[in-house]
Amino acid sequence: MLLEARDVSFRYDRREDWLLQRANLRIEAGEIVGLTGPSGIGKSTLARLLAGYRKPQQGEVRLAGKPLPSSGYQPVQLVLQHPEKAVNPRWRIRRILREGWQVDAELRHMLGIAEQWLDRWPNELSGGELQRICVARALGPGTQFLLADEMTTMLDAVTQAQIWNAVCEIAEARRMGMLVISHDAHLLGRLCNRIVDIDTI
Amino acid sequence: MALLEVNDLSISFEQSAGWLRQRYIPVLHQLQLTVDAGEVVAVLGASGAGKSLLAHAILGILPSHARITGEMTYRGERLTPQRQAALRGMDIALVPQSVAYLDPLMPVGEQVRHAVKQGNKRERQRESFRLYRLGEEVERRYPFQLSGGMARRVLVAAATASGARLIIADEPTPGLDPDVMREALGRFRELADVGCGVLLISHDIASALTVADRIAVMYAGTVVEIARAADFAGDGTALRHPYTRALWQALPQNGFVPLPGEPPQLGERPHACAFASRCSAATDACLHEQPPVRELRRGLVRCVHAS
Ligand code: SF4
Repeated sequence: MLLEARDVSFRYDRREDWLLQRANLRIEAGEIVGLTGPSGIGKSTLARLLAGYRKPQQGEVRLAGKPLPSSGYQPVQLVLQHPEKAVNPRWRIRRILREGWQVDAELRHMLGIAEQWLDRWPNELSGGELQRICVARALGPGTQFLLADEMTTMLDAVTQAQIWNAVCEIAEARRMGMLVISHDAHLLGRLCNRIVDIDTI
Repeated sequence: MALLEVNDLSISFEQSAGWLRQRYIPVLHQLQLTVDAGEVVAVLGASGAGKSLLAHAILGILPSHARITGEMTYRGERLTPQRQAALRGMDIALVPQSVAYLDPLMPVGEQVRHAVKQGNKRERQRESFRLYRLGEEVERRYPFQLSGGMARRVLVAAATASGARLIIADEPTPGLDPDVMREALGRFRELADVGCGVLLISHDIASALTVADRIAVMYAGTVVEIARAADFAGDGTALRHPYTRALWQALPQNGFVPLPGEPPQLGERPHACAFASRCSAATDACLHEQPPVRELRRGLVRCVHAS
């Protein structure tokens, strides 16, 4: 299984500069790739293209040689920096966890999601607690690639280590591929098989 | 005399519990902290540990259903709500978390002049712009015409120009790339070096350590340790509290060790050490009461077994 961006170019507006120009990236099943580089939105844009949130104006994104599925469960899942922007504030946690698939007790346990949280509203959980919910929601059995865009940047070191420990264990057991976007070179060094710079792809 | 002294600060929120009954949910618990002039003190901890509440308590901007006990003094005098209102924006300034605090409809030079409370407004604004390498042409720009890094410099320039002596910076750097972050934090160091006291609220130990003199670590609504920046070294043996050590050892550049468990929810305050369920050194003595705060090796700790 391979997820790839082939020669993709993207800009939000015709009058603006390209955010990505003929960029290429390949992630194999079971591989953890780090993506780094200076500030700017090129990295996040690439992650959005790979997850199918946006279509490149040129080039293509392929999963196992085919375009991303246009309906049904998305095998490429993206988790962002701010969990409070990624959940419906008017849904209880229990319902959020059912949004993509029925998150099971085993995964909840691995991610340290307590039973009592399920009846709360998103604003009653801390940032670290809510991010675990977003990670669990993204890890359905159909997920083949996980894209983590500054997924633990807002979290303290202990919570960060807990979440990554669980995610890496799951990724290894399922041979899931991952893309990790972070400014933290130490974090990328810990997690990744290889690290690429956005300016060189 | 400390610039800011916080003594035994506790905060609880009133919550109605049905017909004519009220409950108080404790959120901060007997917290101690000092900030001296010339010093950067970082407040570290997980989200939900109460860091921003502490900042809001010092500024006097907690919601009206908060009940506050304990004492805060600024330059030796008690911080009453009246005095907080008089000092806010004058002597005590907040550098907010987000550049969204800038008024989108006003040129930034004018916004900084508004912040100046003593002396000639234009001169002080120009001076602080020069200090933060913001060219004169930037004065007339609106926030949307600035890069993110420039907008942050404007926020710090406003705090400097205001003439405040105590600067409270609430999570000023998350998600910045390392160069921009170093620059942003360097500004706070400069403010301390010219005599201000800076309280830097952050969840990021590694970056806070690059500028802080002392570190206060919060866990479940209280400060569990105050350490010197130099204590964060090697495998953390100079640190005093098991939670501080866990934070240090969880950094990817150290052990990346995931300490299991969660902090108790705010409000569930057991009559025991709040860290006990996660602590490998816990004994019966930890379960009888909140460990009292005590001095240890030129710092503070709230742990019965720390030595
Ligand atoms: S008081 Fe006891 S449980 Fe709490 S941190 Fe110290 S040793 Fe651990």
